[in-house]
Amino acid sequence: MAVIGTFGSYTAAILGIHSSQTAMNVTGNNIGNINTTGYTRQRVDQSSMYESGVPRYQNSYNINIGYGALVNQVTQLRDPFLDIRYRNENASYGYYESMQNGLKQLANILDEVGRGGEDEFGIIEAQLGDLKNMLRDLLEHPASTTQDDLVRGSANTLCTLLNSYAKELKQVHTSEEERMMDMKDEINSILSDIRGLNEQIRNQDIYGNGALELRDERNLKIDKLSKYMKINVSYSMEQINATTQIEKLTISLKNSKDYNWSQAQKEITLVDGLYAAQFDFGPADEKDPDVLMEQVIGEDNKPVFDQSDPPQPVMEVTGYRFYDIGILGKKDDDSKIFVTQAEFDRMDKATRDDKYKVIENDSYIDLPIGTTLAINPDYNPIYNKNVGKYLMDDGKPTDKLEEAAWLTSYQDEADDNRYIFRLTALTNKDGEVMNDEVPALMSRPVWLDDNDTFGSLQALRELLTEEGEFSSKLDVALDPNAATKHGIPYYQHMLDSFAQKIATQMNTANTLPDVNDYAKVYALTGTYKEIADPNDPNKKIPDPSMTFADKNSPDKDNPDPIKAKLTEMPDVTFKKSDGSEETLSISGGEDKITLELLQKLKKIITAAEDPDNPFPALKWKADGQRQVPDESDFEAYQAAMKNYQTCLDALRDNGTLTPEYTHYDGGVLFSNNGEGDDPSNITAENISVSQSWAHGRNRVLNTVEANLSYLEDGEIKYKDGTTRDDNIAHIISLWGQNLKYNAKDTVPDAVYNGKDFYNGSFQYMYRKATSTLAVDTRTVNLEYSTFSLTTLNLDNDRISVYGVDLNEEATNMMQYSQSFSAACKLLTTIDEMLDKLINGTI
Amino acid sequence: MPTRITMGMKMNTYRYNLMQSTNTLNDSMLRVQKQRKFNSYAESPAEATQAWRVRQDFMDNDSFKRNTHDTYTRFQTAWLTMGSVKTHLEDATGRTAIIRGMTDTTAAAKTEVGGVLINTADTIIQAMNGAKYGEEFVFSGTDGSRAPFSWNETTGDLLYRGVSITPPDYNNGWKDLGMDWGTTLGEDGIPKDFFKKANYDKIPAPEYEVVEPGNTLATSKSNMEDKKKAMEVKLEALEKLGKEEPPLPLHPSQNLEFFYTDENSDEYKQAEEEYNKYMDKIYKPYQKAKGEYETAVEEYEEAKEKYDTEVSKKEWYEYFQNMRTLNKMSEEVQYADLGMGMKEITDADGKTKMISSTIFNNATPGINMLGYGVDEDGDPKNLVLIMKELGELLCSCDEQGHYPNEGDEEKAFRLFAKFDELSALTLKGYTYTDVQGKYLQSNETTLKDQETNLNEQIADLEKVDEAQAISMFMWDYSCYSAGLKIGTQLLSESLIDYMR
Repeated sequence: MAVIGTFGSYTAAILGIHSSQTAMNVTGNNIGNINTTGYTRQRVDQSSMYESGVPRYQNSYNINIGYGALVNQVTQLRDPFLDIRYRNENASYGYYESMQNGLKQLANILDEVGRGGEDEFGIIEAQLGDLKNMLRDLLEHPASTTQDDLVRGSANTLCTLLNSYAKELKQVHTSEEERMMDMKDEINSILSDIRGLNEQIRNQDIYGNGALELRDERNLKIDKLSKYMKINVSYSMEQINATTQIEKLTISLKNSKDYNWSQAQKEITLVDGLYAAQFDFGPADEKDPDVLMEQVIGEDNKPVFDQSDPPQPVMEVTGYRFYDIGILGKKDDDSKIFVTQAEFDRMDKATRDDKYKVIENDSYIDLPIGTTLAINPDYNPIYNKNVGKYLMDDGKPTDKLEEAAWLTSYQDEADDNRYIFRLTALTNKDGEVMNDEVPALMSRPVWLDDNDTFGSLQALRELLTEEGEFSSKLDVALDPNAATKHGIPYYQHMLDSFAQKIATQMNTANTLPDVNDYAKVYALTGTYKEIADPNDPNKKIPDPSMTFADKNSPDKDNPDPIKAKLTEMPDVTFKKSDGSEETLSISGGEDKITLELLQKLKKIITAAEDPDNPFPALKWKADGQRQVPDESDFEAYQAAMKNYQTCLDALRDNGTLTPEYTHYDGGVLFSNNGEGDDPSNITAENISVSQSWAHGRNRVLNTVEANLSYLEDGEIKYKDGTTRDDNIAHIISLWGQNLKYNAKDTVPDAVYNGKDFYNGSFQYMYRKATSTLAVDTRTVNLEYSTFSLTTLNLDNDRISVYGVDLNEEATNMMQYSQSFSAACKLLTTIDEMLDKLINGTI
Repeated sequence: MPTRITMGMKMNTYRYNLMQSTNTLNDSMLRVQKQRKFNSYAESPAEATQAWRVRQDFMDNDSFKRNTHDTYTRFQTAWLTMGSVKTHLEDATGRTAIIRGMTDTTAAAKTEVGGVLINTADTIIQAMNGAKYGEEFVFSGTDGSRAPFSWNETTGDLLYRGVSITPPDYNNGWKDLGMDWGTTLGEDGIPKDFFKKANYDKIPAPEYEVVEPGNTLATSKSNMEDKKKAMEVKLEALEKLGKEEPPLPLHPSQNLEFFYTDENSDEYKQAEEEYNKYMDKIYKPYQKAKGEYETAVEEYEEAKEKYDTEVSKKEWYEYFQNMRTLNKMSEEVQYADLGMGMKEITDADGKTKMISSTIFNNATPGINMLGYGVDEDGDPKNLVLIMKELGELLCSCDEQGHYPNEGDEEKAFRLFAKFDELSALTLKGYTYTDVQGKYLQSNETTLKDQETNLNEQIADLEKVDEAQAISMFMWDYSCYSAGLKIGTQLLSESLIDYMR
């Protein structure tokens, strides 16, 4: 002190007043913000001002004394470790919260516990029981049409309930989808906001301002983001000039990997200082059915790229990376090489010819623009011995591109309800891409794996896409646990599977299974004809030459409706398995149907099931329609199916029941719409009582046995049994049978190890859906409770550090008030001292 | 240094705990109001699944109970009908009447009893046809919409569901045919190897049974018709020669009138000439035609006998063919699901078949109650037909009470013995319906007990213990109230309040 001037002592007092004042201000700020969400308590960092130099004329009696308190800065009290822990748990909390919310909506539809009026027998569950009991009553009174009407009424209610449940599930799906869209916007907004805050904080940092409130706001945004996905937040120092470093915030997706060309796997970055990505769902637009995906492996077990200018993958999905390529060539050493179309176009001819030797038919293979190539992420040398080869579907190597394997599973998924999350390249607020000046380092869009985001976004994706046992090959490839995850589609498929099984079983039981039997029931000509079975002379079979002649109406103005129907039927031309074509003409110009024609149509329809069928097997497409190698064949198939139904209708309308089956009043009970009798592609949403049943043309078939025959005066006569009930009994017994449920029956591309996913009765199958939901809900509820408590505790731990405490602030207030008073006292005392010294001494 | 407890933390924790407390209180409230242990499947999946199973059983049980009662009522109708038939058979219209008729020597008694028996037979048929449960005829087997028995108005045959159960005429061929076809009846009521020996390829065989081609009814019929035609031609030719047979004149040599006339006399020669002329022109042609006619008649009769035999065989053939149909009708099952676990099995051919022990058979075919078929004596094995036959036999007695034919008395006693046997069959039917009815009653009782039991199980699994639920609610309510109280104290005084 001695080194300062006489009035220097005032400095210490003034600094004391100033520091106390500042501390008091900070205390005031803390108290004021005690209710501000996310506010981090602040404190004044002050130090003792001290002069360390030795004055030339230092008085040897003097000692060095500080100049008083100096306010260095105002800082925040925050524990970054707790932030990390909180944010990790917050993602889980978000996941289970969203999942719980979704499952609750499903439970509102499917959980029937305590529902169903006073009896509380449930809704669909009670209806199933009702239908079974109605059938039992019909068994008791098999001749009663009233009882049959009651069965039909009960079946109709069941259909209506299933339709309504399916529609409600669809509604839930739509609303969850909308929620995800909103969430996407929210996430993008957060990412943009963080980017903006980063910029503001950076600017403040440059001017040495702590920007504490901005940091609080940023932390809040990060906390919010952490609920949507699992993130890593890191702070690093960025060199902004030779002497200055400032803090940079980077947020990346935790546990995610960005496979890039250099194999340097790194976490996927969401925010990098002044750059941020935006979130989107893909690849609806990328799902080009012509996408070619093949595995190409080079000699070094790496993809064969032009090493000097490797293309960047456009999409990364577990298992495969996808590159845009346009041109595939072959180098002198026979290794393959490819570049994008644009790069190829830039090359002069000499370079092209040098690099891209002809490989097929004296020309380059010019792949369609946008053709995407897939490689194994680990450059997996599964086919090490066959390097440089394309792989065919059967895994064998080939040199021919056209034989290369198509990842059909991915193609099958083209129309599936897949949400592949995509992040755009990191851009700044002006839309400039990060590192765009260095191509190799330039930020690129990234496609996320199914499990890359964990948090409420992931929960929504799972709710919207997971199909459990109905998962496809690709679903399982992307997520090995896909078969055990149950989202809305799973419950939709379960209901569909349930509806299909009931319809198929009841329809089969109520209909004679084969067209031959059908012809046996309905004589085509009205006079049933049989011939000896060439394979068994003791047996007789329907005469295939039997025809159903249309009733020609003489009145041209009022043509016979059946004739009109037959005339409308198109000819169908099919490719047979030997490559030849066959045209089936229904009307044939003669307005008649032959049994042979019916049998052929039937064969086409059942082609997939019959290995000896001359027609190529029809595969199922993801949308539930059958797929054939040639689309025109598919149309022919559809025409054949329609014609078959029309023929059967015509037969039923105009044919005559054979004497053995005069009692026959069976037929399709359930249809895919109420306006017809089409039992194909039945789902929970469309299952209906068939038109024929609704109109009483079909009944629940009492018996499948032929009428009893007897002789009267040398003639065979037949006697039916009006109260026979063997078939009703059979139908009821179906309700007690364990039936096999195969996922492929409902979702053609389902894998599930090729096994039946369930074996049980109708009622137990329905129960399986609801019990699965219950178990999932229970698990999620438990997890939700756990994580909500954990996040609460962690948040409390954080608040414990950064939260404002009134007692503490009150203490501070008193303390700073006292120190302020003391500093003021010091000032007056010094003043008195100087007064004495100056005025009192002289 | 202890953990800092800030106001924010306290508020956070308070809000969380208060929400938990509200939730708990809400759950308790729901439990008390709905009286259920769990209100969603997820609350208790194990218990909910168990409760669902029990509820399924309860719904099934309800249906079984209702159907058992229905079936019981049906069997009650059958039992009452069989009871009335039994009474008819035992009292003055049945057995007692027969004994009286057969032992009474007066003609009046026999014919009267005969009439009573015929009427009783008709009454039994009417009773069997009148047994209905709702719209269904109880004794029609699996054809409940139609009356089981009827009489063929032309032939007078008794029909069961349209199929004749009256055997063809015993005297028309059964005995003779029996020798050919074997008289030992199989278990199916058909003579052994009957169809092999029947050889009827001109009569269609039901259900495409393969029969060996052989004898023909049509051949014998056309043969008979040919012979008849031939006979008629001969008769016509004969009749053309005269209605009366021309007398046989005496040759002049034998005629006393010419005893003393010289053979060479003109008179004699003229007489001889007239004689020869008569013989050649009238007598001999007539005799020849007569002989031819008589041969044709013989041939016709022979052919007719053969045809009649064939007709008789045909009737028996049809009868035994229809026996198969009747056997099927007798074995037909009408299923009822009364909680015995209705289940099917699949046989080696892939055909499904109901396991009989898992279903209840509703069918009570009338032919099983009254009998059908024929015995080795050619007598019907049907109670009504026996009564009718015996009645008609008694009615045919003359004024002295004698039977018209030799052996009729013996037949009457034989039929009486068979009446007794068939009455026992009817009694068996009566007992069967009684036993089934009792079983159904007991089943109904079991199902009712089961219902109570299932109700209890549902209550155990789903319903709350009210005392426990209310005390839990009270406890949760107290906790919630206490929680609220804490809330008012949460923003308590701090150091600031004491600062001046």
